[in-house]
Amino acid sequence: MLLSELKTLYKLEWRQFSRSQGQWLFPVMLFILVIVLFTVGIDPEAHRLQQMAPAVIWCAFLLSLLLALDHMWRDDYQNGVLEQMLLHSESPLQLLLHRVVVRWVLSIVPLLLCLPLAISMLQMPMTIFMPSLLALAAGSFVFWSLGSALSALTLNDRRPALMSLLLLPMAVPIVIFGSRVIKQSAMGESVSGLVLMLVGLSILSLSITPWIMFAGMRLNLD
Amino acid sequence: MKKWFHQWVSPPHLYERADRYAKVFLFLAIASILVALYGGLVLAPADYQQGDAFRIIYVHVPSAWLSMFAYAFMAGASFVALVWRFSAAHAVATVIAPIGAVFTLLCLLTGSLWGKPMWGTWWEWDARMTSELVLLLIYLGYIALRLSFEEQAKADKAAAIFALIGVVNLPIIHYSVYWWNTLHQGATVSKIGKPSITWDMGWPLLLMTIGFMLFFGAITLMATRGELLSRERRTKWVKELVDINRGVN
Amino acid sequence: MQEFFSMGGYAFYVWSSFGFSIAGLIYLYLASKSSFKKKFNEVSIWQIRENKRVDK
Repeated sequence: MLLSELKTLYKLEWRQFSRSQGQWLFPVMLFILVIVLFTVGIDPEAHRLQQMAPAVIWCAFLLSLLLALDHMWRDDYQNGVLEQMLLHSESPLQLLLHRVVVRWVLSIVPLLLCLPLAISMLQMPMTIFMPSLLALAAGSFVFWSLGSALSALTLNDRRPALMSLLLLPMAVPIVIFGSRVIKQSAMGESVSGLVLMLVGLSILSLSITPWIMFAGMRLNLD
Repeated sequence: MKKWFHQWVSPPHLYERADRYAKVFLFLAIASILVALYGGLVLAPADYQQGDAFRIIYVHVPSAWLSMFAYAFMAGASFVALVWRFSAAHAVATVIAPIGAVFTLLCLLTGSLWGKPMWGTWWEWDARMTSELVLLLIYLGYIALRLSFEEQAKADKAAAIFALIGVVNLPIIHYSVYWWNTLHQGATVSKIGKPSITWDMGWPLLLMTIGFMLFFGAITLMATRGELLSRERRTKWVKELVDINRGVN
Repeated sequence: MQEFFSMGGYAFYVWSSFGFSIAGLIYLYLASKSSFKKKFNEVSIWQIRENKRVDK
């Protein structure tokens, strides 16, 4: 039963993704634009760019995800699909979780494909690619799942800004650990501890946020 | 014990009690704050390193403590309200948020005024100050979230959930900021906040903190009364109470 | 006395810290008190209106 539900979900996701008229490109564009704007704000010398790079990559990445998060539930909430989905499902919690993961993958893959471009724009060594990729993936999952939960909580509010204001203060630890990964890997130091820390945080958020999502939706769908 | 507890969470009892307790708390708070002010400004000797600037500690540390205490209290009330469905606890959480935000703001202001003469800058990226700033943003987010709902019941539930998310997140934020801070601080020793406190410097601080907490209790109870009336306007006890007191207040 | 007010040269910082804090506490007191009064009056007016509505 769950399998067929999931099949429907994946089909729906794929249809929405392919019909979105290139909307998946918007976060990618924002990602590049933030990097450009940061860079034109300073004298772009290598050492200065390298010093800024960890923070710029992380801020650009999270802001782009924020753009994608806005569509997490809102469209389906407004046209009633979400209500149907939760009403008819036997295990709504798992369904929600699958959707969060699918959307997360669809959002970060284009951004991560741009990562080499971002690294070279900021004149960092390409050796940071793998560690940064892992850190961005783990850190973005924390951000994404928390963001999905907070979006569910603020569904009835039409202004997308509110969710961002609730979510961004909670991104502080992710940016601290994540930027450190980029910085240390650029200096050739080991970063496995920090990456594990981010993975730990994403497991923590995975265990807590589905409940918040569910509660938020039930409250807003009443 | 159980009866005593239920009297605190039943709205009419809480309303009645709040008035009495608020008056006692307020009296004790004013008395202890005044004594602590005298102790801190006059009796306590100047710090050998920071001179008289260290006296800012007597308002900075109590505000910092209250900003965190208020959040913990708000989250506790939210938890109680969610799990046992005590509507009075939602009222308490509602009124605490702006009060906690004011204490956080006071902590940041006095911290900045302390930082200027000690560090030479209005804003030093000190771990404590940074996490207080994040705390302020979370308080403001909580208030904004509450205001975004039109229905009271939904606002209560969503805000309570958000307060609990904050409880899980705030320690993580706090420790990550501390860790970040120790990375680049290196040799410069933190001058603020850690003067070796002796008893003649310490007692006014302790008393001031107690005074702030009593004050917090008093104003929270006062504001809770209004919130209870407004929330329970359809009940019999509010009707009778308003009928009797109309024109008095 | 002069010495007390000058706070060892830190007068501005010390007195404005204490000033802001006391002002903040007074503000909180007044805000809580007035919020109670405001809510009380709101409920009182609401009830009068509600009674009229029921009478009709």
